Amino acid sequence: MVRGRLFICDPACVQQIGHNVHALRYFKSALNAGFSEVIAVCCNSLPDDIAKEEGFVKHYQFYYPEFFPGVPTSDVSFSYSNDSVIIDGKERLATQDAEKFLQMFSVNSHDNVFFPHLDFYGVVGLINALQLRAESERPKLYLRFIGVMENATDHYKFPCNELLFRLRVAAKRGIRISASAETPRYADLVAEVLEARVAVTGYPLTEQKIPLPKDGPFYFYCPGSARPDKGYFELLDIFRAVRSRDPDCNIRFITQSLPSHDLVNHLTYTAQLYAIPGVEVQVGVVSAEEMISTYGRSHAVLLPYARDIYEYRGSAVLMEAAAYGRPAIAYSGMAFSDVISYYGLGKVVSSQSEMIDNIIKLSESGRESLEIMSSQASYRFHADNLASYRSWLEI
Amino acid sequence: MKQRVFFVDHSFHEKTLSSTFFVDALREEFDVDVFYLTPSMGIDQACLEAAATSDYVLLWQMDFLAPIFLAMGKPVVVLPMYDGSANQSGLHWLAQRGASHINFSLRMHAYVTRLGVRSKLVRYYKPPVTNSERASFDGGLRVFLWQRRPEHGINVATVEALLGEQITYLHVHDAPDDATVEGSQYMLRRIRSYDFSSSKWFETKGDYLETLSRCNTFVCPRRAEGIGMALLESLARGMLVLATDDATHNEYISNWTNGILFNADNPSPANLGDAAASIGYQAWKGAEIGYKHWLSQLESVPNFIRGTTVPPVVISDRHRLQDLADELVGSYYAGDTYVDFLNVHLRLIEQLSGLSQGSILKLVGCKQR
Repeated sequence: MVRGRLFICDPACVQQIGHNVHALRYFKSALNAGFSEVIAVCCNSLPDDIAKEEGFVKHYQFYYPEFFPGVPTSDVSFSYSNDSVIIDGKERLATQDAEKFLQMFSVNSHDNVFFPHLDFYGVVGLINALQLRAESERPKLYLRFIGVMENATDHYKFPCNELLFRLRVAAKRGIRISASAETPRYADLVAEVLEARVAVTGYPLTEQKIPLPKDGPFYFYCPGSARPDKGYFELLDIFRAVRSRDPDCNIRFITQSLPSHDLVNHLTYTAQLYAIPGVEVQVGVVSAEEMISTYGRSHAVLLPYARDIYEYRGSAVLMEAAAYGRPAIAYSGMAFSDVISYYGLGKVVSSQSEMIDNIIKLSESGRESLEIMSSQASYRFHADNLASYRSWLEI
Repeated sequence: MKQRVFFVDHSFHEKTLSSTFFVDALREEFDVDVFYLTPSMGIDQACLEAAATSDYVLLWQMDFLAPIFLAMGKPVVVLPMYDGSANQSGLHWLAQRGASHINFSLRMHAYVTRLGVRSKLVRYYKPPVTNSERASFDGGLRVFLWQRRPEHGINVATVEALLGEQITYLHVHDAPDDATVEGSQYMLRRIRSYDFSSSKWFETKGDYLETLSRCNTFVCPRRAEGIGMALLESLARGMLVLATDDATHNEYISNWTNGILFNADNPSPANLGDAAASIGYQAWKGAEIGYKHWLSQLESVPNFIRGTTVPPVVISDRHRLQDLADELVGSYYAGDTYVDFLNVHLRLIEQLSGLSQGSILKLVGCKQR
């Protein structure tokens, strides 16, 4: 059944780095079939040429300069408001943006507004604006929680709790809200607070299997930005331990380095990674083509992510690895560890030494059987994920 | 027809040939005209003329010259060296922000990319010897030490402090970079149990390599390197390499994995036990992997050079350029006056970097002293 319009909104889509633009593109193309029209709406600081090429509508002012250094911003004041209800300057801006958005597109109750990885101000602004509108002018909201930008405010001690509280109030006032979360654990948490059913929706990458290299060394790839919470500062111990047990360098590692503004602060560490035989350190920012090409020459991914940061969050890298048919090794205790275990998307380990053991063990697997098992896991995961999106978005 | 590259190098490298591997590779794709700059001679009109008729200007280690050629409106590619340029000021780098950089050091790459310079990080390796030619570790540690900079703490006493009675043989090549240094005063032995030989001059590179092949342990002769040709030669041979903990050594050596890093000011004993052979093996494996990677990196270098921006002409008058070149070379080799030169020419740096004075000062922190 084809329904009304779908607006896919991402006020934090602002620069061609990492998944920032790619994610909005993926969602736009993945959901194209289920609605009469799909319109992707991004930040007005996204360069014109990229927005034009992707077919995005530039709209939102940029609320998050502290999280995206280097993004040019317009002269917008974030000073606190004197308004007795809206006390945060960014919230006031976001509310104005939402009002303009609703007017510009004459949004009505047949329309749907989807935040694929919701941000605090984008959603708060929209529900503020919607509460002033008649029921016939209120679209249905689909909010996907991934545990990142819903916390992007320094105004509240527990931003996501504040957001969930406001959503619950908005729902009670008649705004139609449907939520999903990237991991089962996060979905259950949101469901409990919202007192509503919450779907589980992974990153909507479909299978794009890349054949596993059959010969040569076994490559582990540590994709994505080299951040402390992604285990960048564990890699030296892991790589060195593996190297001492694999002096012939049958196991190789590829990792991204830090972005240039961070790299200068961690040069000694990065140089030590760079110096280990069989370790390839890529520059801090790589193109999507280079990333895909690196997946192509890798056999598995390594995700020594921080348990506390990823207690509820998923991992876009895990979704990519699943799409390209590469198993992952990750720590237990994270929300996405459960996903790995359930679908067989790799191996979950409890400690660094167990991770090292499993790196050796996985590298000794037969390449053909590894490919078959990865393909099976990938199939199971994507079939469920697709079904979940269809059910949630009623398409 | 091949495009023309005007390659500017220090006259010292005419003797050491340390840039030859790169020039030879360039010649596969470009017509390369090499100009060796003698600091006391500076840049003359013939040099400016040759640059003007080339498609690209490449500066090997002579990064400070970039503003001259950028001001002419030539696409410039700079290959700075860590040992010569690591401590340069932010203004030095911003004056060449319009150039592309090919960096052989991760640290240099990090410094310049932070300032917005287009940089390609590469890592050179020498081709590894065959497995059967690898250094053998039977019979203890046979050490080669080239006393290039004994006055900087890399000398016989340091080697003895590091390796002590594990040494069974020590060859010292007593040929300091600074001819005024008396190398023999740094060759006093505290330990008498090992065999000893020395040289002052090798007639041919073959003689050097023959002496090197009698050894399985190599002590890198300087505290820091731009690339480190002797380091790379020893890694490629699967030797146990000991080097100070500074670039580029510590970008090639992971401590106790494929070499040993030490503090030349306070060398502590490295009790190797059975580890020497496995560290040497890792050095060789690293060179094997690294050399293949270098060859693949090299393939992308010509396109990186071609992707260099053509800067606007800032100074068209040849006499003004000559004056600027004389002032620049003079101040650079005079030491402290180079910082003054950069401060005086802030307007030129604005034009060359495409940045406002405010942005420049924001990037470098404050006026350079």
